[in-house]
Amino acid sequence: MRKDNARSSLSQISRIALAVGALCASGLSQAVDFSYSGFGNITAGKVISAGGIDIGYPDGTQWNCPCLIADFSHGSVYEQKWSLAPESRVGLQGNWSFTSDLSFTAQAVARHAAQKARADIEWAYLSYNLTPQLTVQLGRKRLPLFFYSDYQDVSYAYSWVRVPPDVYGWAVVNYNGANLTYRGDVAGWAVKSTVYAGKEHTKKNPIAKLETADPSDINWDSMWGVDLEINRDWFTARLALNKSKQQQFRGGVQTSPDPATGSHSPQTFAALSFVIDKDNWLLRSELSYIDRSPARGSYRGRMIGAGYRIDKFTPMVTVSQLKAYNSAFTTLVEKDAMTSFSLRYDLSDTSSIKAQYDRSRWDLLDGNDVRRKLVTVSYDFVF
Amino acid sequence: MMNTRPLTPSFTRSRSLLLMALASLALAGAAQADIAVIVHPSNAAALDEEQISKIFLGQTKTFAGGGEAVPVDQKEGATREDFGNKVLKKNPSQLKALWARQIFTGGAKPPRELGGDDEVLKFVASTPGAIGYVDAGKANSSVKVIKR
Repeated sequence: MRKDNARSSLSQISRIALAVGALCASGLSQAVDFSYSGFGNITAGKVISAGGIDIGYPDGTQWNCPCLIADFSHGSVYEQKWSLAPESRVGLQGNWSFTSDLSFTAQAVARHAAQKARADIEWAYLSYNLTPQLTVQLGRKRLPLFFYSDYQDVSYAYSWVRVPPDVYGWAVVNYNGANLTYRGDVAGWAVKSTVYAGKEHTKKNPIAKLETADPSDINWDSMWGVDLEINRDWFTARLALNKSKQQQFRGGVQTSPDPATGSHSPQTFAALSFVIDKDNWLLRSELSYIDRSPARGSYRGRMIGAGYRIDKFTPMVTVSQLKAYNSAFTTLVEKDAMTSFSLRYDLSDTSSIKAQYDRSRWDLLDGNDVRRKLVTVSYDFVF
Repeated sequence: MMNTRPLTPSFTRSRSLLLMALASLALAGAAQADIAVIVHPSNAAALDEEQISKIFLGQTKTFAGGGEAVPVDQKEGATREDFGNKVLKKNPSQLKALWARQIFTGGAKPPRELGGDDEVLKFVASTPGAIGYVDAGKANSSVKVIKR
């Protein structure tokens, strides 16, 4: 469970990118090459079994629990009745190319997670190729904390119904700022590395809503990060680091960190992942390390999944775990684990259907636990 | 320890059956249309399959010598599927998922699509950095074949 939280607003830098993009688009309308693409999924799920104790999370006044949180970041909660609302979504992306090296991209995603319909601008950035290897981008982007973070909404692009919530699912999923990406061939390896800096201020954060209906605003300031991904043939590895300073407000009052200790508290996210896609075998793994000491609790997460492609079917078994520690990062206080059995069927080159069965257990380490079983079916597409 | 036992008739028979099966597989492979990967005649870069894959998967935008690569794809069809299976070693669904990741994460853009062998030949023959693929039977002297 995550006592943490957020929702996103466009910062000044993204507004500038939007304005410049619009200006370029209108001023150079004859020269602009416009293309659009999109993705979506219609997903239905239901908690089929519940055991253990009721810990009041997610908040029982807003959801008819026992429930299972499928996506912390967006506040997706399944109850004991079939529902399409928590995870179904549709995204539309437009790309305006002004020259072969300068373009503007915007993406909006509509969903009904966290019991409220909303459409958010997830991307709005200008992109410029400095050289064939180096690209600089300015504006709003998804935050690449983990391997699937920046395309976790595009469920067509992976084999599960959703990315494992134990590793994924933090308060902030976007940032406004700038990044520089290198993409090239180094000693036979395809290398991609990005450095970025920025911030994100969120209003009515969905992860905070899981705790209480009182809206909470979460800010990640002074954020910077770096990632490195290498690929050769069937092997991909990725290392990522992100540092920022967080603060939370509820009703205008600072709730984290304790105002007596200052306006912000530091946090570090680190992740290492390996992906193997050889012949018909698939192996996906990720380790996460989240240090929020000394102000707040810290975490270690891990996930490993194995699958085998049989023609159009991809069955997969995935186990994930999140260990929560006290603020000094010395004592284990909770262990959350999930085992997922998923089956993907490639309906066409642009669509798939999936079925997934998840078993979740939050071990409170005091003799009590929270156990849930969830079934989900999904139709995913890109266009 | 070395096996000094003579081969039994049944072993040799099964081995020849295996050879026959392999030979028929090879013939079946040859019966499919071959693909030729082509570049502009002035392009001196030596490219192996791995480098061709990197260019077509958007992982690198330059040839080994440093020149900018302009890959061109074919519209969906048998030639494109053959190229994907044989050279990129990915089926159409895997490729679509890979590109979905690139497109929706602000990564590389997919290669431009051209209508067929003739259009690809024309484009590659007239564009110094171009790299494309055509049915091997269609490749002519206006382009340089780097892999068949």
